[in-house]
Amino acid sequence: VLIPIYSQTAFSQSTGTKTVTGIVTDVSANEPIPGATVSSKSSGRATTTDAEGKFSILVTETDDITIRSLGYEDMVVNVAGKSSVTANLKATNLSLNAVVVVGFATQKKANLTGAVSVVNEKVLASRPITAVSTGLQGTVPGLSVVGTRGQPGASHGEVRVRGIGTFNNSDPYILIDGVPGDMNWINPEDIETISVLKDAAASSIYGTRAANGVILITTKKGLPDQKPTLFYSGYFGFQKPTALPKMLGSVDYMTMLGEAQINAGLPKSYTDAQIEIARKGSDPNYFANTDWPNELIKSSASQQNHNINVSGGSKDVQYFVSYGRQNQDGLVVGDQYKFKKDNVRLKVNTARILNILDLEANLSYLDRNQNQPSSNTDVGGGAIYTALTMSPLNPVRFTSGGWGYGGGSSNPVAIATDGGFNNFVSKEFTSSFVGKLHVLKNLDITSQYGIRGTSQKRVTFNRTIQYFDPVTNAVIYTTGSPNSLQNIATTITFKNFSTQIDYRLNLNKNHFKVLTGYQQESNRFDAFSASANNFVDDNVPVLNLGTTNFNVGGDAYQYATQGIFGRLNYDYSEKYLLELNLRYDGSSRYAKGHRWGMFPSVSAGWRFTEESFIKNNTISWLSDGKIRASYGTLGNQFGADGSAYSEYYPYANTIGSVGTAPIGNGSAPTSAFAQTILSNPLLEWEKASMLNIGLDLTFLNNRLSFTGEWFNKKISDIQIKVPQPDILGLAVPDQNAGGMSNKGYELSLGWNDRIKDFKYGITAIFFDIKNKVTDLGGVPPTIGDRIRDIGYPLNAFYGYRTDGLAQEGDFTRNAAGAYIPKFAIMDQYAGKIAPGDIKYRDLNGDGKITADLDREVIGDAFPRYNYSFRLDASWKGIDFTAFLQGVGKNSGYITGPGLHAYNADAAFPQEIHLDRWTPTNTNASYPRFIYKDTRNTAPVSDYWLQNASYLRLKNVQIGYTINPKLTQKLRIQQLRFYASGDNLFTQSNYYYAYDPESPSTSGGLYPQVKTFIFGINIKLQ
Amino acid sequence: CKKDFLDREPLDQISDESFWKTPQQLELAVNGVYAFLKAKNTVDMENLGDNTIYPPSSDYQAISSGNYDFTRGTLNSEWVGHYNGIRRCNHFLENYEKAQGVTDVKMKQYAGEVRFMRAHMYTYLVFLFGDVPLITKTLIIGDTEIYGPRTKRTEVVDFILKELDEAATGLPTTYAAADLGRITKGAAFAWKARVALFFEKWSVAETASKAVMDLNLYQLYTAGGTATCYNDLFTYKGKVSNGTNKETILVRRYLIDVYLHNLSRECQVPDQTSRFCPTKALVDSYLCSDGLPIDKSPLYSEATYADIFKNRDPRMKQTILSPGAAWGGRDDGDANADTNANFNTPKWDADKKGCITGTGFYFTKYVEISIVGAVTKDANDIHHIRLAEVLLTYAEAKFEQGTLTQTDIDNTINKLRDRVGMKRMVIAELTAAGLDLRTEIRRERRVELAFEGQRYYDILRWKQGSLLAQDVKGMKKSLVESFNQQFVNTIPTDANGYFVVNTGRRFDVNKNYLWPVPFSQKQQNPNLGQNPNW
Repeated sequence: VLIPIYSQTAFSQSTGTKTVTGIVTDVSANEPIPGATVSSKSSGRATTTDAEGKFSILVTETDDITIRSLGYEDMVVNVAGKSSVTANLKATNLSLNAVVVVGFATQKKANLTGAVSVVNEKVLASRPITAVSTGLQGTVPGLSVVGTRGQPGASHGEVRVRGIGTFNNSDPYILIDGVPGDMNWINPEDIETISVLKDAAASSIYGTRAANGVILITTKKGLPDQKPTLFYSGYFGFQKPTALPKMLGSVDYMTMLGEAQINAGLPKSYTDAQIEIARKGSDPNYFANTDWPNELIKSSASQQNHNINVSGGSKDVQYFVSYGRQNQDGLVVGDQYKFKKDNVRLKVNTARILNILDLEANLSYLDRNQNQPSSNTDVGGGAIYTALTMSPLNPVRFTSGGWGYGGGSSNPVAIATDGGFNNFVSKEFTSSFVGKLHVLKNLDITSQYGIRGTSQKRVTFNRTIQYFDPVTNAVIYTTGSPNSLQNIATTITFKNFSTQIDYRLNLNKNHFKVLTGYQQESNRFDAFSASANNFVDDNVPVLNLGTTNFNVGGDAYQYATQGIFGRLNYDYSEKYLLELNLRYDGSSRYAKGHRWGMFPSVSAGWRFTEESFIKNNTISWLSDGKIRASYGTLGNQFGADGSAYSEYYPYANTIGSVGTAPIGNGSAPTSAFAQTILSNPLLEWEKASMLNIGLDLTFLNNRLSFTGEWFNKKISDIQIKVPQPDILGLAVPDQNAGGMSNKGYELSLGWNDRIKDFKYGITAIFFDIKNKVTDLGGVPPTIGDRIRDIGYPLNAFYGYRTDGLAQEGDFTRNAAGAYIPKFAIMDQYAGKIAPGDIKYRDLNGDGKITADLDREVIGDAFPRYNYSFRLDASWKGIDFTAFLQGVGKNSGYITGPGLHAYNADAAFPQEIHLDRWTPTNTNASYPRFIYKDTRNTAPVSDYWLQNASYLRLKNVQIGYTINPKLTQKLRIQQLRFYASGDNLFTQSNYYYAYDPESPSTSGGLYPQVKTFIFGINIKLQ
Repeated sequence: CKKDFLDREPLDQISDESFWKTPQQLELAVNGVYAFLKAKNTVDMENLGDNTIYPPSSDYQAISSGNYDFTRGTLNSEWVGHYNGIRRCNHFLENYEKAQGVTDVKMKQYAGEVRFMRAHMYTYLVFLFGDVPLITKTLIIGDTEIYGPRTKRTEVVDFILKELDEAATGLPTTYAAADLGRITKGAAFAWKARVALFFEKWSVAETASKAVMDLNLYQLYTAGGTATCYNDLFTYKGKVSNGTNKETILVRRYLIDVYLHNLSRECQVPDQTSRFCPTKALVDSYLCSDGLPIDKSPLYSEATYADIFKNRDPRMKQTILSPGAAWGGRDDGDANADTNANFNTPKWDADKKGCITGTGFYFTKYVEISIVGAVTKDANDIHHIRLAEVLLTYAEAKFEQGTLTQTDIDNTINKLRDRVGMKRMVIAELTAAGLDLRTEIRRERRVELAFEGQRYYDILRWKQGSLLAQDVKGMKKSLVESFNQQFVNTIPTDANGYFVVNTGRRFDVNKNYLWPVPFSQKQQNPNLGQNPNW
């Protein structure tokens, strides 16, 4: 997207010059605007206003001066006969004249007919966000961010625009200055605006990439006639976990284990004497008392961020150069969790070369370095999960000094500290060149070529950990033996090219804009890996030092897309608005004959406040009103396998390398080949159609604004793996067989006002989306714990209904004294059900509980009733922001050692288990313990469904800007100190040990974090 | 823009059309089929029977005890795994003839290997599920067979036997070292004998097992002598790559640091309860060295724990850990908490200093002591079929046809007994002692093949399901030392003072001889129906 170039006249030498002085102020606040650019039209000479908004400039007698400042509308003043000027600039925030970035163009907000939301730089400013996606949460109606966690370098969430649009990859299409990319890792300080294109009208010009919404990120640039400006922002701070499991100690563990074992008809493992040993701590090697999560997770970790940028420009050339650095430490001992990020950007714009050509070069470099332990983070084997599966009887270290061990699981502190590392480095160089040729006054041709080279390396070093008998020093347990090193090097080359022709025509009050264009993308991925075992040294991870099992591998894939597009905008007097879009798209992912798809959209708007019968009726409180509607179709090219191999050639039957059993007398793995995936040559695009109706109103001189949207999105031909009987013998291919609908509405309300020196603004957002599966390809639903069934939300929780815990009164006794339940049970537990067990409900009334006939949808994990509330206020130099965000209804499900105890060997009691059912605690929240028996814990039921609704203080910040008058002498335009915090306060009834925003888990999630920072902003000119 | 801009071919895979051309491709495709040769869970499945138990719980224990339903994950993974393998075999057999430059002999060998593997997988399916869909081509979506009913068990069995015959004609009797582990003619015969025996096709079983014997290739493993050779066979010494093992006919091989499992550690895990605790039923099944069962032999004494192992079939000490034997379980049940290189007495104390038993017993068979201390570092071969089984099959098949002679016993069972120095089986002596020959032949099979994964299938085919409904018991409580009594005082005992380690078991003869069709399979294809009373 190109900057608008303002009109140009030939330089003419006037006879006389004079000096004009003036002051630039904010029209609503009546406050000086420092740093505004004031330029002479005749000479191009420019200056900027000082801290008091004052300027002085040399002009010709009849000159025009242009005054511009970021966040305000430009103003042109003729100075004929004037020696001083007072310029009251109008803020662009709510202005209908604000220009919004849309697909391949910009559009005046007043003339928008599609559903587009804009986020400006203010929303991300001074927040300790570690990935841009998390900063967007709650800022855009219809955009939700789910599944966030706190792991350094992996703290991003999944961004969903208007819900989950497919069974598959539901990520929106993200373009950064016109080049597709990942929003998470760009420097937030580089971002000027973010446009979120939500409906078909706004996004159908992106065709097959647009079905899940489009997000356009525009980075900052230098402004014409801007003095070199240096801006530094930086903060230091720390993160703390929002929630952690609270484990019970050894005595409780041993006592309750006995209870669980007796309930299971099994012998007790520990005698009273042994429990006494633990109580006294007399055998610290084998009867210790360790709180593993507490030993593993630190109370806080540091985070810091530094950003510096320089921008400026003359009339012909503008520049923006920035460097950003973020360091984030981890909350796990051993300090393997770490993230470092460097961002560099250079943007240069030149205007009107040879009077007809504008050029933009935009180069950015991203260097990400993420480190974590070599064991997986979120699953079994990793330190965080293992902290839940390790007995409190085992010590962190034996008295002999070596790592403690007691069987069952490895020592999580040892894993985190000595188990080795997984270091991922990604270097991404993105360059984009844009040329805009002004062929005629009304005709431009614009081409963009973008190329991104990504070079990644993942080095995984598994170190050997030995555990020694504390007495004999003999090795009693070894993990990671032999030690091993794997290097994976990846290069990805992405190229995109687009070219477009823009034509504008105004016939009286009829305004036409026509755009036609072509776009192509290609991507190629190449990777090779090498590994070896038995390194002679645990500290020098280089392949040359390996001694056995040298292995190499390599893979590669590629894809390409191609499309042509067009748009027609028509308005009559900016009152009646019409827009038509069309895109014709092709993808290499499908067989010839199934590659191409057509995606049109139409939208219209009516600014009824422009009608004379309203304008002339003195409805003074209504400033502006527009009603709009759109309909169109979109495509989605991603299939059910996400980024798996079968995604790239789903039409081709291929044979690839597979693992097998050893053959021959060698010592190397045996090579083998086989078909691993079925193909589907008939596969084609997923299609989405979307109806959107919107209403934009502003009141009270634009102080109050309202936008409401209603939409109905229907997705068909979703690529799903229609379940087939497994006698097929291979994973089924994707078929265009699924259907889904997302219906929802979005409301946003803004208010901006001031009371003397106190300025404040309030933004409130509310939206809701209802997801429903509408088609499964004519086969029965897959009955798992997460169901896909017609009429229900995708992957809804499917399980039993329960009637609480069985009590004595729910049973009779037989002659032998055994319990005979009066309620239905699962046959496999016949004779074993007793008070304290969960009563499952016999839905079909056949007298027994069976998996096929007694389950139903009990909830789903779609955030409903999303809301947020933002308050910005300032008084003199003090500024304050509070941002609350919440979800009114949602469900989560915790399983495994995250919630349960004794249902498996490696599941240990937490504080909540003190309230388990026992004959003396019958009004309990947790069922009775039964050792290694999962009747109460494994079947998915509403008993364990967690309420994941929450209200959270996402961010609060308070800042103080030193009066610019005091700092001006040092050429400091702005000096601001601030404190800011994310996720500081949460109101939720979610399971205490995990965060309501984190995904459903069996334990082992890296904790979500709250972050406190102290920062400084300095602007020098 | 280029016209072919969207033509992006796969970069690292070969299309099905261009594969199947060269000898190398064919061999790589055959190799792919070996991924489905049943692995270490062959031995895990011993927990389905009555020889061993992990008392707390496991899928196999639930199935064994009859307390399970059709949602149990193991059922579905058995079904899915075998059909995945069957497809790979079908894919090969449909395409391999397209290759050029492969000798006829090689072609037949490859086809034989793959036919054998397909039969191998169908065998488990019919053993466990009864009727199953018989699929002999690669299905694609839309084929009506996908939603077809199950094929009768007898029809699938006939197919298996026919395929094994055909495989045997093309398979060589031995391979060069570079092809170690491939399916041989002997394996095809031996597998056929196993299948025939299961379905009481006695003469087929006799003929097939005789065919193996007549190859004169296989010999019982005797290296190390009578005191250890039987045990050695199931350690690294007996790995087929060592060359001394001429007994194993079909093997799932493992390679040090490359292909590994965890069986040895699971048997003597040095800080937890052993995953495989021999049951009283197994321990009691070993004869005394006079050839008489413990309830008849004057040599039997249960006065002390050590006495149990005295004067018994020598295979007992080579299968079940006896006092004095080397072990890897660290501290045993003796009075101190020090690590023991040799086992003295069972451990009950959960102090994590050594391996606990649930029954009072441990296995030493299939335990490579050198790697008990490491996790998943076990490269022990899993011996699917060895000559011993073939000999036992031959004896049983002849017995059931009424043609078993003392000579037959000498050529089969007594070779096994000679190998370990056990008193020979003599029909006349059995009769004199009032012993039943069928019972003794079955006992011999149980003892010889203990902990090799055969017991559950033998119980099914002998229609001895009632054995699975009985309480699982361990040693006598009174034999536990006084200082260890505190650790066992919550273990229930039966009227005779033996530990009861698992109770509440059931076996419905009208139901439990077959597994149910797994829930998800039945859900995807209701035409599969369900096995009786499930």
